Amino acid sequence: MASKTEKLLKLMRFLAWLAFIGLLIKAGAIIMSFGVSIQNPEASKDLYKGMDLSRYADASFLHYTVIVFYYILLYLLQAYIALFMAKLLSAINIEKLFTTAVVEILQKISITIFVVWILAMVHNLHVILLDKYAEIDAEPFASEYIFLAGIVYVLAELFKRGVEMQKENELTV
Amino acid sequence: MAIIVHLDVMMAKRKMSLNELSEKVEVTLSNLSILKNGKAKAIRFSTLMAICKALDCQPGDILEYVE
Repeated sequence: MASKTEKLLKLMRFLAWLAFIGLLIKAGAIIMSFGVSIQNPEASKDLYKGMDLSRYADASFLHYTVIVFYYILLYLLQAYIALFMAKLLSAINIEKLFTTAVVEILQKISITIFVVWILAMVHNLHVILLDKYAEIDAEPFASEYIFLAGIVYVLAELFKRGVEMQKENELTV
Repeated sequence: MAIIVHLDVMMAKRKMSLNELSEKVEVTLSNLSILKNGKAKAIRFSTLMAICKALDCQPGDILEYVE
């Protein structure tokens, strides 16, 4: 049974690394396409797999740049979360589950998701304002990150209590 | 406010070493050291009973509550 769980953890660690690399490639590709779009505005129509931000580029280069950077930052933060996930899956020991390392990583994941939520909110506010004043169709980011951050934070707190209980158990003679 | 463990005092009174006590109560040396050094968070009744039996004393001789 334990070996099955270990296999699953290994697979998940592999997927987390894959997600980390994929998100970095995605962010890198957008940076490259953005660089090209400075010289050739046509490139803004397909920054990465059909990501069309040309409506912002046509209206204002400044807004376009800021919005592209929201996307880049979003993918970089998601890559950061994937990296933490990989680290978390490496740190997990089935025999001794509750460790301070796991709690710290969970807290970092929770904080990063919260930062992603703030970024998503700022982006959404920006595009909604552009929609209102410049009549550019808004395409907001999903905003359920706060819910996710809350869940991970609760998990971190539970693990913290788990660490305390495990320590207490170890110090029971 | 704490519980002070006087295991070392009782062991000295009975002239018993930690190794000897460990064998008699069947508790590992490291766990007895944790108890002796006051680092233990809890003690099982079974352990306390075995220590009291080995040292021929009462729980109050080993444990003391101080403000």
